[in-house]
Amino acid sequence: MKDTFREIKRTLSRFLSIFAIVALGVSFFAGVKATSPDMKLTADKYFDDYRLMDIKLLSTMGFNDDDIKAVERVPGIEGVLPTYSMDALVDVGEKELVIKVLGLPIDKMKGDDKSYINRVKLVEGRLPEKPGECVTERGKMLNPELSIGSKIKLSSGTDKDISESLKVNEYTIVGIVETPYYISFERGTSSIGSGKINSFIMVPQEDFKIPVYTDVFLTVKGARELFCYDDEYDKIVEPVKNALEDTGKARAQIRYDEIISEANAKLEESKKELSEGEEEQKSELAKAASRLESARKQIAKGEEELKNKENEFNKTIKEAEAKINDGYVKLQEGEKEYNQNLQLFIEKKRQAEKELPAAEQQLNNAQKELEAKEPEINQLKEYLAITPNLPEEERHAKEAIIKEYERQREELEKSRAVLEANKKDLSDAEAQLISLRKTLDASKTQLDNEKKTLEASKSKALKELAAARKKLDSSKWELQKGEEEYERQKRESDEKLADARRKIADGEKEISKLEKPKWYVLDRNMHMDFVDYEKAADRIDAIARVFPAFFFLVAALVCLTTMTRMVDEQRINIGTLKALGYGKLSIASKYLLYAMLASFGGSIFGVLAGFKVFPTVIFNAYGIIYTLPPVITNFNVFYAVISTAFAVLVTTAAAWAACYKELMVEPAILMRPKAPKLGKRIFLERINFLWTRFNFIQKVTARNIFRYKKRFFMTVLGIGGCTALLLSGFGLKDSIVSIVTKQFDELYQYDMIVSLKENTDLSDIKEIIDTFGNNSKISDYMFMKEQNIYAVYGNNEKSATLVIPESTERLKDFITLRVRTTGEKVSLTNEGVVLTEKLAKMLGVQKGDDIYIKEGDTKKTKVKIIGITENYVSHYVYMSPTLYESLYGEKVKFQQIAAKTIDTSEAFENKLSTDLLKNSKISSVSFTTGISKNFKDIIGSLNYVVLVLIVSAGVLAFVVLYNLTNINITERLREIATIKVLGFYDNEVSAYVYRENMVLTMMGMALGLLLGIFLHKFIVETAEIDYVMFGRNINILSYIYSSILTIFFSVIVNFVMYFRLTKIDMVESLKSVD
Amino acid sequence: MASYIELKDVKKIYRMGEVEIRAVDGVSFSIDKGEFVVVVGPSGAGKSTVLNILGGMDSPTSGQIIVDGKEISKYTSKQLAAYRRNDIGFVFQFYNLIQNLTALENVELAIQICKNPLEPKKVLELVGLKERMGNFPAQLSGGEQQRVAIARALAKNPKLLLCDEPTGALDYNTGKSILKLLQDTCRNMGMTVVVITHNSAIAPMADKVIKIKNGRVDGISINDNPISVERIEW
Repeated sequence: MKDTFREIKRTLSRFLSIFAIVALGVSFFAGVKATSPDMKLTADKYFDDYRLMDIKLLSTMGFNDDDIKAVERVPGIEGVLPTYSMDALVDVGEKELVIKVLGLPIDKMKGDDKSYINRVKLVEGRLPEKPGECVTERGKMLNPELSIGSKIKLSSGTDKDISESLKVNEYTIVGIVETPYYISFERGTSSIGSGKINSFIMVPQEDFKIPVYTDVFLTVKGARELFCYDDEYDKIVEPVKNALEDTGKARAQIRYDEIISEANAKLEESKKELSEGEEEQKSELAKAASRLESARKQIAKGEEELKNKENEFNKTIKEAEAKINDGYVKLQEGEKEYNQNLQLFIEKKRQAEKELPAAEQQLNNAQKELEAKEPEINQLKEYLAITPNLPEEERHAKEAIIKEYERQREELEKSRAVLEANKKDLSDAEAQLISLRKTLDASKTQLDNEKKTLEASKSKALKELAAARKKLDSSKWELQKGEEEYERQKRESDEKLADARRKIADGEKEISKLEKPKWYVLDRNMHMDFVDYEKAADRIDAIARVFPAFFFLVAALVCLTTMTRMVDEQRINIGTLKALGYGKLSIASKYLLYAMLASFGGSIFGVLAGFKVFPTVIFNAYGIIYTLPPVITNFNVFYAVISTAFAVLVTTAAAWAACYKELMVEPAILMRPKAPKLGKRIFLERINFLWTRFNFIQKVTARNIFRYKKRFFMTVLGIGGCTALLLSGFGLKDSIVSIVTKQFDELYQYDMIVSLKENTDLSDIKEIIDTFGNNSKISDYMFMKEQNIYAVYGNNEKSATLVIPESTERLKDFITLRVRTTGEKVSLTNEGVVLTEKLAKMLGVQKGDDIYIKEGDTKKTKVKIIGITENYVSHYVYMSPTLYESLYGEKVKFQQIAAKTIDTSEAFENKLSTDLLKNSKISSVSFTTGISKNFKDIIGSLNYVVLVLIVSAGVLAFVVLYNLTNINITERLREIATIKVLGFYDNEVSAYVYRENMVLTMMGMALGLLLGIFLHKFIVETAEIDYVMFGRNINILSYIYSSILTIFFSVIVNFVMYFRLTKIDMVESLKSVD
Repeated sequence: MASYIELKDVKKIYRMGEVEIRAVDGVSFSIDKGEFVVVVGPSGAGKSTVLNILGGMDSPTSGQIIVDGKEISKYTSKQLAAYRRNDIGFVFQFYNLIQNLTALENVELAIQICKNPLEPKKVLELVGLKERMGNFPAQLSGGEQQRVAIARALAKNPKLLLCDEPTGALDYNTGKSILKLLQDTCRNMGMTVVVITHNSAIAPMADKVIKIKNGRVDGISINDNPISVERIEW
């Protein structure tokens, strides 16, 4: 025991190399093998945790509440989630994305409601809480233009308004989620926009306005506890599925009846509506007509009124004018009179002015006389007064004198008054004249004013009249318009009614044509993502079938060599122990323990590392196309035990076998150095002409190489194995990668497939396509029919697609039919069908055999195979239209168009697709670029897996080379020391050893390349999935890469070994005699 | 005139952890050209180490070794290799022939790298193996193998032929004939030959006998009249 540990310490590098090789082999084997189960396990856990539906129901007519109730009654169902989904368009930046809008049952999300199915995993942000909020996925939706908080506006992409299906059409992104419902990048196809769903959003379920549920998700009791990729799972889901199908049939009938009666009722209603509409139209029209009539009348009245008014106006004006004229005449007369008076007055005045001063003079004279007489009078008067008794006579005389005076005085007074009166008369006359003048002037002004007023009122009246006319005119025009409108409306309502009538007719027809609703009960096996992922895991499994085993084999081989070699070296030790009387077992136990320790330790390490590293690396590579939680790396007991057991067994058995051989020999012989292996002439020496051409060193090398057969084979096989692994790794990559270009560039000449709706008239389509053709977007096209069928040969039955081109001559322009190996063209004649290669292989048929083409369950048609064509993806059976007609007795109903476009850029294709899909007769458009891109994505991840294989093979190659070189050197220590003693320089010593190594490496490499071709073929054939054929080719470059890598490793190993060689101690090496 | 080979206070000390092992502890001697020298001493006395150092297979811890005026104790490993390939011929106790090569080829291998080698076939004839040239070592007896080893060493036409217990694995008569061969070579070709042996009985055949004990020179004696091997019995 102690001896074992000491031995390990002494030969640590050997121990470690066994350890490393075993660890590598085991980790690779166990790890790669465990990857597929781990992948499935991770998915299963994810599906369980987030309640991926077990069954999804779809119906051509949706589901109403009664349907849901019926579903809930089906036994074995755990949860039921009726929900909605629809496709919508979103403009993001310059791109128009097609997105799936899914309902999220907000009310069920709190707590652990078992009917909350297809749960979401919130990655960032929060879940929607109210209408107008949505969550989406990280990948495609969120980019520099969209983030949490962004608003998106949805549109329906059809002529229907989106508000018919959704309450809200603008959504704010509030969170990012992941869901088990969508684990791949594929979101399916749509009939709107580009035809390809880019992403999804989830909105509160209440936001939908669709009258019936579009989707129903179900979980099955007990299914969650099972591993969903197991048969057990299918077994538990199957009966529920069948029960649901029955329910579906029953419900479909009920729904059908309902819908029919509903439709009939609706039809009745619309009929009623129609008749009502007719009535309404009549009354409306009558009303409108009467309205028009009254308008007309009013206009006539208006016109008359206007005329009257005009007349009146004219009369009034005339009168007023006459009056004014009169006024003027009178004025003139007045003026004349005035002038006469004035003349008179002026004369009178002149006369008066002449007389007056004289009269005045007279008066004044008289006055003066009077005045002169006055004192005499006054004396008289006084005399009289004083002499009262004067004689009468005298008195009388005196008094007469006074009297005379008095009279004179009065007279004067009188004449003065007359004068004054005359004077006054004159001034009066003047004043009268002045006032007359004034009056005249005033009346003139008045007249003028009146005239002015008249003018004003005249123009005003004229204006009013004009306005009235205008108004009349406009109402006349309005009337005309009204009449036109009336005509139009009449026409329109007629049309509307006709339309309604037609609709009713259509509705009647539709009802008569109405098909029963159909339920689709889809389990997970019909869920793209689920199946895709399973296929991905299976692909890994397929690769893991052969590759790791071979890998492991190489590792085991090297372990075996190393162990054997080790025991050989220990001969003397064994001999000594045996001589000392130790039992066989106790002697062997040291080596067995050594082997066991190394291999078991390596295995444990390998198992632990392998189960962690390989599933993680490969899973992460798939992470590019699948959104899943981190991988669960399970400790796979089965593979752990198997690989460990095998590794330990091989190594220990090798040790035991080697020991046993030695132990059988007598100790005495063991004690002596093993009789040196006889030097032998090698067969090359017999080929004289070759041998003589070798120089001495070459001869030595050649002989050394072939001397130890075992070592030779071990080395060549070891290196060969690694090269083979490398080559098959690279080759696998080539095979996988080449599918895409071969299938989509070489075989498929077309760029686009347009699928038509059923019963579409081809001439219509031709027209549509031709418009694009004329726009030079589509350069060429051909009609095709594709039909799913089964190809049957004996008991073998494979599903395939039957392709019938419009014309066999033109087929070659769209699809290349050729023999893979020779490249020879295969022509499609009316004699029989052409099968794709993989299908033919799976069926086990050859050219000339007869197969059956089965449609549905019963219909079988026998056809002859006239050719087998190269094909990589899916299975096809090509048939000429003539043959189809003669076999099925009916014309081919073409439903696809294969077309070539002039551009393959994404923008161009999106545009073309959008334009095409606008047409109601086209149901879908797909481009080969899109398909090939998807394929490339999937294959891209497989590439990583292959890369893992290559790296692992590289590491193995390195370890193997190191180990073998190590053994080589240890074994020949003495020889090397000898030539060193002989005075070989370090580089010469190295060259001496390396020359052999290089030759062995080259031989191993050559063998490896040869072996690799077969291994590659084997792996490719086992790794292939049913519907894909990998390429069978290995690129020249891969040969070169594998060779270069092998040489590279060999050089590195030799470089490392160089230092070991220089360190070889001649004295020590030559001293020991073992 | 300085000696052809001169060792001055050569020491070889191995350190094994705490312990210091003085394998060679100050050895000094000189050898003249064309001398037949026998180094004798008990097992573990350090004779092989001295020989290895002299042959350029090992280097001394201290001290001077001068061969033909060159101080090889200061050589780099590459110079030592050159020294081995041009100046030294080695013969070992266990022959160390390359099993995979015939007798002739073993000789040829050695001369691949020599400046002025002897004709391999002639050398083999010389050592009496004319008939067995095409045989592999395993097909030869021990004595024959040793002859091949000597032929291989001689073919290089070295300045110095070093033999480490050449007779150790051989029976009496064969050993004798090998020694005879060596002695003849020395005499006939003027080769300087150093033979190590624990068998002091063969000392009389040497020109010079160096006795080594515990890593030191125990005594050097010169035989003015070395006797032929045939006359020595042990």
